[in-house]
Amino acid sequence: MSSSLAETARGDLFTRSGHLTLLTLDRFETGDLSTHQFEEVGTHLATCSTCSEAWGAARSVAFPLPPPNTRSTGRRAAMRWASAGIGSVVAVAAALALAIWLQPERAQRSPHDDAHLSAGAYTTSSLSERTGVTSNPLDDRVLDLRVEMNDASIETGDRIPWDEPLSFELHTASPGFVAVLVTEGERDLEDLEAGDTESSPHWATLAPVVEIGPSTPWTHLHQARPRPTTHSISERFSIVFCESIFTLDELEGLWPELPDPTGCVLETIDILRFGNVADSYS
Amino acid sequence: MRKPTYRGSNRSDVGLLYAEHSARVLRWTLRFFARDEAEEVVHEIFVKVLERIDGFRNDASPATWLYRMTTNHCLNRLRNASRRAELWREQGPLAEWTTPVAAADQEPRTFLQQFWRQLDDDLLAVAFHYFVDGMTHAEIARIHGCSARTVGNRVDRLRALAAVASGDSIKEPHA
Repeated sequence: MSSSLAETARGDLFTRSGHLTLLTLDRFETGDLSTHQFEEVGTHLATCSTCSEAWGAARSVAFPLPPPNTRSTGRRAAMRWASAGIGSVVAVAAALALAIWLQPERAQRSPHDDAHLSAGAYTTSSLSERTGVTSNPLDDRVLDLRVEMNDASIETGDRIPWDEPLSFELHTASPGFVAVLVTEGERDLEDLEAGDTESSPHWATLAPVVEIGPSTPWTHLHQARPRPTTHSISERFSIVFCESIFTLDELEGLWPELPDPTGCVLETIDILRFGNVADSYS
Repeated sequence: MRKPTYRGSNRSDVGLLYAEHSARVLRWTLRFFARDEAEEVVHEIFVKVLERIDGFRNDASPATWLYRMTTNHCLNRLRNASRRAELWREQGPLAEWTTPVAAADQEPRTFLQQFWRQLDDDLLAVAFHYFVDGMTHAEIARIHGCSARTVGNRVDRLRALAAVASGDSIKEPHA
């Protein structure tokens, strides 16, 4: 095991200032530590007044939290619990609804990594949570959204070659404005060698803001292109539809701020990409 | 130390998790929200737990898995709030449990307070753990299942963004 992987597996019980982290105290309480770590924490608590006070303060807050009462909880959470059944929770269906077509012949579907805690295929997209934009499946204002490769439907989790174009088509029930952002996921080569597949996303405007209406569906062709770099592994398309005109300020490193989030709808599609890096760009 | 085993049905496992950890998740959530809202958030989190129970079973550390999920959920919920919300609670029983901010961390932390809403999920989560929780690269890497180098890259990226925002030249990362 490389030193970086060993370091990852071990973690660290202490903050950079030498005190126990909040998580360490909880793991200590739950028995989620090795014997050596448990002894280390216990020894530190016996000698550090700051940490022992924090330990006492944290535990003073904790008392059994009763299962949710539908009258006392917020309406949205109560509805979810009520439909799920208190104490015996059932799965909540919260899929983003894209048009469902036949399985594409060339798209290679791979299981979506649901262990990652960022937005996945069946959760509210991270950009929507970030901007406050609604991401309900096919909001009343959005009639239909299709993403296709060679007339075959593309869904989140599909694996698509870089050198294939993708077409976008959006039908809305009301006039407004649409734009598409693309986030390219990259994998650092050294991290790859260490077994780390985390990406460092950078976003750009794929399709600028244009006006759209019920009688004028919006279409866009994402041209095929060579794989940008050997580290490029994925793309996320964020399709934003707002009733009011908006601008996308490309502040480096920061997501765009969208005006009037309540008047917007957001759909995201995450796809994996594969292919060779071209010797030169045509 | 008793460790519950989570190999039953989804419902029973979530019930076990709730009984074992709901108070703990409430403590973590109280760092972001007032009590009334925090309780609702805890329930939201356990609904998510049920949706992602397979991911939990594959994780060796239930507390870490829940901690990561709770932090991400709270940060995302804050961003979705209709009002501006304070990222750090200034009142409450855990207010004193704050990590001393080193001089080199002050600027990125200030930047984080102002621009957290516009940071992508991964960067925000790492930045929160580093500049608010005071965790080391190794611990953040363990929580997120990535390399310490990736964590370092993200911390450096936030420092760079903070430096650009303040108009300063990019400083070397804090050792």
